[in-house]
Amino acid sequence: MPQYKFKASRAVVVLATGALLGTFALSACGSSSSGSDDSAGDTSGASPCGLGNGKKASGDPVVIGALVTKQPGLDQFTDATSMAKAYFDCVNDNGGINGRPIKYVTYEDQTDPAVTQSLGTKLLDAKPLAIAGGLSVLDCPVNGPAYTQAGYEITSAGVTNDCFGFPNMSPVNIGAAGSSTASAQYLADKGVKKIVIVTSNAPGADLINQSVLDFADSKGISSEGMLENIPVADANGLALKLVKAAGEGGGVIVNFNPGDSLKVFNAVTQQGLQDRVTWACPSGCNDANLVKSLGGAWDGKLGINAEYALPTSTGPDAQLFRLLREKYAPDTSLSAYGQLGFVSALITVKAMLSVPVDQLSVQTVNDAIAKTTDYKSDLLCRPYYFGIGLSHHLSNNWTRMVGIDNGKLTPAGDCFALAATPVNDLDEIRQFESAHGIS
Amino acid sequence: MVDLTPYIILGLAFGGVYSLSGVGTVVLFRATAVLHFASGAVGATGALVAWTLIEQRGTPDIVGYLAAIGVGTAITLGYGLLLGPKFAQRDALEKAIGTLGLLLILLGGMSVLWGNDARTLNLPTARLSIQLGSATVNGTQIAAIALALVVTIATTLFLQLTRLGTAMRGMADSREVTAMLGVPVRRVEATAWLFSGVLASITGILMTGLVGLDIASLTFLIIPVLAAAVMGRLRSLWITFGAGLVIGVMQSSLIAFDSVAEYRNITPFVLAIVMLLWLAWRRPLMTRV
Repeated sequence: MPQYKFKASRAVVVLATGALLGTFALSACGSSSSGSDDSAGDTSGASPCGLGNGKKASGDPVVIGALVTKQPGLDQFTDATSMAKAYFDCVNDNGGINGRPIKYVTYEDQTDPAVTQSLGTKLLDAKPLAIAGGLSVLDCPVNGPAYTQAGYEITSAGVTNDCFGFPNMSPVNIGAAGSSTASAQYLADKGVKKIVIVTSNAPGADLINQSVLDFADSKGISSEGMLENIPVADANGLALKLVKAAGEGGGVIVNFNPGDSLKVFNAVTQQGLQDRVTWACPSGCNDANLVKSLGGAWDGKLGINAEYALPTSTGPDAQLFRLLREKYAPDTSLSAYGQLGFVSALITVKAMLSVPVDQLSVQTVNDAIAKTTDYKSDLLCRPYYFGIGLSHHLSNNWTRMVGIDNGKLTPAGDCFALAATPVNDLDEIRQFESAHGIS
Repeated sequence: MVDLTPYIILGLAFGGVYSLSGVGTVVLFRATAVLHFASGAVGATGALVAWTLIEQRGTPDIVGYLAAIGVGTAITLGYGLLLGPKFAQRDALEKAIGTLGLLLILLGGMSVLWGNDARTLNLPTARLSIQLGSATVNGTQIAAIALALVVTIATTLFLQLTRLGTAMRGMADSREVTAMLGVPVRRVEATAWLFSGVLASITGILMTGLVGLDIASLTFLIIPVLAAAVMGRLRSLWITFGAGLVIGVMQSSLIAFDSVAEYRNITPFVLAIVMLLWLAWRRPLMTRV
């Protein structure tokens, strides 16, 4: 009978296993708080929430609803609803909607039209007075007509271009196409000879790329658009391909979610490709965790579009954003996605507060939302307006770029006007602004 | 003419990781008849532990990586010790589904504990780089290829020259007969689980250096790994090794060709199907289980 060397007793194995699993539990403990190491900083000048009277709202709740996409590759979309909820919670702690608390109903969809449609129906069944703070890939194209028919005027951020094409949807953001075009403007200002954009292969991605190609064409710059499935499986190969496609003196726009963008930029770093082309990234890279992970290797080498002022800026709304995140949503990233939901919530609450509490209804609330004009926030480049009468909207059409300094986002220049392209129809919108004295 | 050199080198690195994990998969299957779907998730869990310790808590790198290997091995060994014997008499499908359950538990656990934020684990090997023609090759890529080769050679020798290896090969043919000969099959199986756990953890760390610390990418690393193992008919370490490299190189090279780049992720399936069809045509009996 052969004598086997394997003599460890079961007790020893179990003990060792237990010890190692203990290490696992210890290391995991507290590590999910994405931005927990970013304190709120100075928030002494934060804006008040709603009525700001410090009284807890009670009674029959006012329902506000939204859909948000949650699936691998688009995980941070839920930051939008998390921060909208944080604001609503704060409003509830400060008098609510003229005394009534807000009940925020959100449903998480995926990029499956059938699921999005059923959740849209479920959302309408909840009879919300407003739809705000959401961020869903398919909500606009799938549920947009139903929301229109039900009389909702929506300020939620738009993902696909459809969101900017409904008379009753006036997103608070410039959208993926707008943010990518702004990144292309940055590259054009840097004097690149060719612009290459790679976008995650999702519904509406073709239009995002097309907007960049149209802009490049208008400037006489050659361009190329690529679509890439996410999660990116081979970031090294992709980085190499992008640099080769852009060529000497070219520029590349990496248009992914923060996680996949990070993979690509890390691959670029590993292969020493940072200086081979000029790099830009739409608002998906406006993420403190991503920039921190990139570290100092990208200082001054990446232009990032920021639809809003940096979350770390000093204005009263920026301070409130940080304060709410720390108090009500500590597990939420300090990201641009969170700002989108937050600003939509700010506008919606202001409109609701303008309606007498005994007259709150879908019609009165949404009329008030649609009448929003000259909404000022230190997060925005220009005041927000809803734009009654426009068949499509892009009221937030000034934007800015930020850079990286020592692993932190840092302002890089002033706000600038987003370029008009056939995709965004900005020429028509700017005519409307001129006609209505909006500057 | 497209210069494929950098893509081939990148592909060899990926292929090395597929081969490494594939060897672990084959050894485990031969000893226990379990197709281990959760090895990618085990590697991802270990890599996240290393990230937390190194990047969040400032632990020395070596401690973080050893902890990653320890945790990954503990999970795998724990599963093997607790559930392995209960699945021993079940058919292969039930055994595989058991590991699919482990995969789902780990995937959910990672999402809850770590979330899906962007994060990076900078491997020390990434700081080394050499220029090979038009390609920059870093230490992680070299380590992946070298380690795959070393592990395949060492495992082959281990299976052929040691008593434990002989026992594993015997169990691959018949667990019952091997047990009747007095071989302590549970201990042999535990060794196979241990080996699989170590390799899964190492591949998780290496893959983090190649694709980034992304839960989904690391978890579903199992797809090309299984394809490589299937191409090796879950028996041959060297065919698995070669298949892993071929999958990696083909997958990476296709990115250079726009017309097919979008479809490169199906490479493992296509190659596995082609291999099975070829085997069925060449030696029909070999493809019957």
